[in-house]
Amino acid sequence: MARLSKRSLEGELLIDHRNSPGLTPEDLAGFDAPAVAGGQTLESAIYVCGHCQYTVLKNPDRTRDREWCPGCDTYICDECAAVRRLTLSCNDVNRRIDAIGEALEQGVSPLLIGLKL
Amino acid sequence: MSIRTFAVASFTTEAVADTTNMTDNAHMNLQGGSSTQRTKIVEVYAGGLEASTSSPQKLLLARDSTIGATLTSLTTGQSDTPDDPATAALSAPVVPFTASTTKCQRAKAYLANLAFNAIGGIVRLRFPEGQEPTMLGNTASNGEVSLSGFTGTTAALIGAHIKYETLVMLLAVGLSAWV
Repeated sequence: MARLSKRSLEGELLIDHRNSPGLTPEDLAGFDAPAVAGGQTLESAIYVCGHCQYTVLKNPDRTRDREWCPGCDTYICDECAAVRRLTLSCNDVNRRIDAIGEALEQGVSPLLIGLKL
Repeated sequence: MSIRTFAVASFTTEAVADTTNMTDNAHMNLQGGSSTQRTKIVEVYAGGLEASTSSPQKLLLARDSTIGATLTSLTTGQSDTPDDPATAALSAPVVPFTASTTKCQRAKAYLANLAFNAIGGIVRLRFPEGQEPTMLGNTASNGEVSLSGFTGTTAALIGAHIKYETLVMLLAVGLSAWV
């Protein structure tokens, strides 16, 4: 059976400002995205948090461990990792999707039973 | 099913806060086709079409807390088509739209941040296979995803596309039973 590295499942973000004045950090004040300057291109790996499905841009300069959930065997974002440390539980989005799907099939509003993505 | 591409050749973005009505033709939305339908977002692309004015774009791919109702059909310069021509049509396909009578509102449930300058800038986000953000059903907030400008976006002309893939629920049920 073939074994895959988790890195082989990474996504990709491309921001191309080669023909653009680009952005400054001030342009993006308060917005969680990289400011790519004029004439520059950013190509970076991304992953999607296994708990909240937020897209995480992988910082190549990060030296801390990448947060990983042993419950669902996926990388998770720092915010979800903090919650996981407090609750000691896995909030796997795929399990929630399955639970919501089953509730919908049975005609039950997921919100009524406290389920949301 | 197969991957489909919802593309808009050009539209003018706007700055809109969360839980605030979006303006017609200033956003791109996908709404689930049925109460149990599951759809994965595969890729998002946006390219700037502005000629002269520096226009920072703070686009958000996000779930919607209020979904659009009485949706307007796609018009000139807007299309939704399968990547593979040999694709069977769904009986209840995902509904792409940019305008509606009841306006949609973004939830504070962001899936991706996309920032670029609309003068000549390009941004493309390809989600990891197997980890794509998912829409489920056709009600708020799981059943609708929008691409729109966040507060601070300078209104500007851009073109964009969203690639997505709808999963047949029968397959999902089968898989969950199999697992």
